[in-house]
Amino acid sequence: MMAATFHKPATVDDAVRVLTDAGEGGRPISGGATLVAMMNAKLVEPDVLVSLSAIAELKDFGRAPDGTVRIGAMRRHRETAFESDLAGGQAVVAKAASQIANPPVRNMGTIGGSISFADPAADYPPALVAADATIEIAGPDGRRFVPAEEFFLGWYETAVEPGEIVTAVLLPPAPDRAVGHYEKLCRVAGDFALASVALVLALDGAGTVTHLRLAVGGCGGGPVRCPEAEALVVGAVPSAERIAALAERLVEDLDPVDDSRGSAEYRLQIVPRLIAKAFEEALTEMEPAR
Amino acid sequence: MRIEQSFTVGAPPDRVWSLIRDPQVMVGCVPGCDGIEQIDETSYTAQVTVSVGPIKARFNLVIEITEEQAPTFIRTESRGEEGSRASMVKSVNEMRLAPVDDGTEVSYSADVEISGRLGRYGAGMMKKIATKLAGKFEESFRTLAEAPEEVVG
Amino acid sequence: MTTKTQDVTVTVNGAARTLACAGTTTLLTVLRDDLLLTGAKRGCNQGVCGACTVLIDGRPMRSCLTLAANLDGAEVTTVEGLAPRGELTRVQESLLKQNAVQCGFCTSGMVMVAHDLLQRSPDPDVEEVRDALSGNLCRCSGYRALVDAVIDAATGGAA
Repeated sequence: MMAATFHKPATVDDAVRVLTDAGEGGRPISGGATLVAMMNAKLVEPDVLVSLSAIAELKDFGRAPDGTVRIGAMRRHRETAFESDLAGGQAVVAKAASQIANPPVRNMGTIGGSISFADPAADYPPALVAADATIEIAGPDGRRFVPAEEFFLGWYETAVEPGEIVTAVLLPPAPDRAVGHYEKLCRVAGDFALASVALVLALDGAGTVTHLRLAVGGCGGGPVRCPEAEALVVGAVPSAERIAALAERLVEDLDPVDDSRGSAEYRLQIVPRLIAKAFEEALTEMEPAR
Repeated sequence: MRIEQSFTVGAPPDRVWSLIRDPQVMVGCVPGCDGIEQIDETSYTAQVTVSVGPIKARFNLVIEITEEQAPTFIRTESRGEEGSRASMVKSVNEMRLAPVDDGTEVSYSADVEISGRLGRYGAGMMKKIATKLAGKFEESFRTLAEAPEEVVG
Repeated sequence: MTTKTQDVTVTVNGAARTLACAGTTTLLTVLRDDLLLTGAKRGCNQGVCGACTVLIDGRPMRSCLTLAANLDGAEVTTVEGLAPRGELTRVQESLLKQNAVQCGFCTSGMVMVAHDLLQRSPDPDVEEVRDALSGNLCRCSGYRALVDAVIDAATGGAA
């Protein structure tokens, strides 16, 4: 393997500067769980590595007075999975984090690294869309904010431009009494999802759906959300029939691949079942409160 | 893997044909292409960069026109590799033009073989990525072909 | 720091070591090739198999996916450093007793994650053990014996 220059800047500004100067051969490195694996396989050979692990700001987790949560890009999956402050609707992100790969990889991988790589079958993307997250990105011209729905452009492509790094994920407060759930199907423990469903759901006292955001992972270039399908359930009691209608409409928007994990056809068949299961789990979780 | 697509352009077949046979037009429309040079009557070289996630593969391609019936049919074969031979690509491409009411229907197919580091993504995923790139080509090509001719020059 | 090799000071099994490593050198390479600590194995080199697992700042991680240059000031424990020379940990004793070792290639990685589990959860149930070992592959397929051995280590043979 060729020698790469290694930098460990202490601030985001320095990291962006080094990365911009490095041009095409530069790579930011956070946990290493993906990038080093690709380097070991000689799939990528960066000239300049910019470690983000000395930047204190990226390791922070915090909640603003308005309830918005800020997860620093260098937060490990383990930390996010066990974050007790991610409750209610925002818990969908912690639940997704807890199902990424296996414990040692969750000790290494970071939320910023994972979403920057944007594997179509990764766990965070659908959860962040369901949570209506915003991605904070730093570049030479300062910070900008991109909604999760516009961040994942499909098949490993994101809104991050060369010279930019993801600095944080922001989660808006979910509606009162909302519940978040993440349902994933994979062949063996720790694998990427064949398909997954993330949802944030809230009901009023009469059991009518007042809030729903649902996104599917592993069935397209990025997470798939279909507001038209959600509208079939919002404002109504979430009966099995309505949930099935939602699933039927959403499946039309999916674009899965045939791969070693399963066929596209199989994925289309399991998604309605995962959606039904996700609703069931979310409604069960709500029960004591209702 | 095989990719098949068709799209309609609001311009007559003769004009679509002359654009398709113009290397400079192709440089502007093929995503990631930054140069085409003509070698002889029927062969060209081209440089095309394909990015998939953190992998950025720059291919040096040799493109050979193996059959041509102006202005309705062209068949090309291309082969190429990255400088370091980390990936190799080979394809047989056919394009047909047919007049339709509002212009020209362009149908094309490509049989593509990819090996090396880009081959790791699997045919299913690569087909989706190739189809997405084809969509970008269609968009650029249609914009150009449908623009007033004097602007295109 | 912008040089091609980094001087990195890492505490390995309790002893501070200063190493000159290139930007892309992994901890696994440093352990095996420079420090001759060959307990951590190079299996897939992709973070999938778990055979290279070591403790970094007290947490099991993949040494094959960890850049040594990034570890300045870190504390690394390998299978060689879990027990004093000539002694075995409870987990290692149980693996022996339960015949939970066949070819042995995955064993040191298994020992690391099981050791970590028992540090954090001294009395785990079978599900917890399976979850803790889920990132470590055994191609001899001795999972049943491995899980039994970890439970046995936790209960001190009472189960």
